[in-house]
Amino acid sequence: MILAAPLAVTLAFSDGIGHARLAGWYDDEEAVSLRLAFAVHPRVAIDAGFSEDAERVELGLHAGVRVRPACPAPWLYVRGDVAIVGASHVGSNYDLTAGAGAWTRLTPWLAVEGELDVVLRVGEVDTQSFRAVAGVAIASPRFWHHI
Amino acid sequence: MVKFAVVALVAAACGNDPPDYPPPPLADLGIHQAPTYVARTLMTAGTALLAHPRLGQPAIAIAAEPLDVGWIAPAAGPAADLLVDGIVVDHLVGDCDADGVCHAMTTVTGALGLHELCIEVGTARDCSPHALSIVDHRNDPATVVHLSDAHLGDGDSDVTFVQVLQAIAASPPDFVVFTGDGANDGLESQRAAFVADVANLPVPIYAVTGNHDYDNRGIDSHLMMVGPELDMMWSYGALRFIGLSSGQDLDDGGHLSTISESSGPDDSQLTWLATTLAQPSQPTVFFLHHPIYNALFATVGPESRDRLKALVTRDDALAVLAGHTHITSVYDAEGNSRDLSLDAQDVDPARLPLHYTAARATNGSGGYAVFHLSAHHVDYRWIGL
Repeated sequence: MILAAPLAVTLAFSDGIGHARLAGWYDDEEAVSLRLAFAVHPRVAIDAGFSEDAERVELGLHAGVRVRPACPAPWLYVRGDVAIVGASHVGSNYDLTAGAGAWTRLTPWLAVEGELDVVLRVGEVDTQSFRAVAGVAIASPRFWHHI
Repeated sequence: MVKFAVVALVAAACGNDPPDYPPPPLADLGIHQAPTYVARTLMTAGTALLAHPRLGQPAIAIAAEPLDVGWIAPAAGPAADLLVDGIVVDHLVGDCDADGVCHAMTTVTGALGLHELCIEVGTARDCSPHALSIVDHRNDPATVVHLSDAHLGDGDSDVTFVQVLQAIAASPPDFVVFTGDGANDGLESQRAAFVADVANLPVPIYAVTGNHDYDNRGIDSHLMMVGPELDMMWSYGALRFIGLSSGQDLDDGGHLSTISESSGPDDSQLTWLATTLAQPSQPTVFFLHHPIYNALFATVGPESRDRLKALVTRDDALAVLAGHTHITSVYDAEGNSRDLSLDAQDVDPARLPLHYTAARATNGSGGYAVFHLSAHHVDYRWIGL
């Protein structure tokens, strides 16, 4: 039954640059994320997952949505995401992410995606970063199938 | 109900002693009159305690500099003998309060290096092995080792800690700052082992308390053995160092959301800190056990964090050194960790004060952090054994 559901699990890697008032421009840190997506509509998927900074302890808990405005292959999508991040004090920092990407299926169960994000960290820490994301997904055949 | 049952089972499985929660407010201890608290509460007539300088609050002095010596001797007169390395060097007549807390100025001469100080009042004597370091000059920048979380009594920590101290002694800094948890279970034997171990260092060590240094009677034993004052301030050349006790865990088994957060610093401490910082500006290094910034539930008490953060975020603040989490973390004044290495960095002055949390000294093979500090400069590196 689970395998028949429109689900995808994505493991992604991201990196980028950022800016903060005191630090100026800096190389943002590499991060990995694991995201479970549930397609509630052929054009819309709800995401939930977590991320972890590759250099230091900084866990993020994410919830978001991806929308395919149109469906050429590879399918383009836009994504919005909000995350609680353990950046300086648990519960004091949030990442607001807006991005656009492309998602395409390589096999009936395997897909890849690439994405460009703008991430605003708000709360106690105030930074802006621009990140590139690359991921691989195990996606059930019903997830984002052809319309 | 289920949560409490689970907590009780975990506590039973771990063999924990019942904690003395809620922790006593430090203000109730009169913590900024701590020698008075010690004198009134813990000492009896016929006993004496070297209050300052001593382990936990030693003095680094150039020979013949004036030195403020404090001692506590309830129901005794103002006369005391000061001994350096076992030899009487001065007969002091102190100004004493009603609790028997006395102070007198003296000058001490002697060979360069670390000396034991003893105070002798009548037949009572108290000594501290790291009380006085006589130097011929103060270095600029100062080289300071930041050491944290020995947790003596836990596994191989006792062996590893000795190895860490030997490594520090092989390349000695100007002094060592220890940010708490010398003991693992707050046992007197663990505290005594800590004092004995650091007595082998060739430089002074300044120590604040961690949550594991508390025992079921609070922090009284620490006050008697390590130093009667939990919060301290002293200068080394142009630099000012301020140590704070950040208190006991808030975790009483019924508040899982506050696990590893501390009970302090409390209002009396923060008032003292604000008053101390109101003195003329001076490049300042703060050190305490619980970090203000970190990615875990492991910070200073939720009621005091914002106030403490505001107090230490100032133009003359160089660094805020902490421990507790057992994981190295580094943040700038605003809590941003980006572009700050966990291992080594020459810090951009615009980002100061640096918030540096040292990993546990006895993790794995052990380790410690080395800082170079001057008026506008902070650099650090982690030394792993």
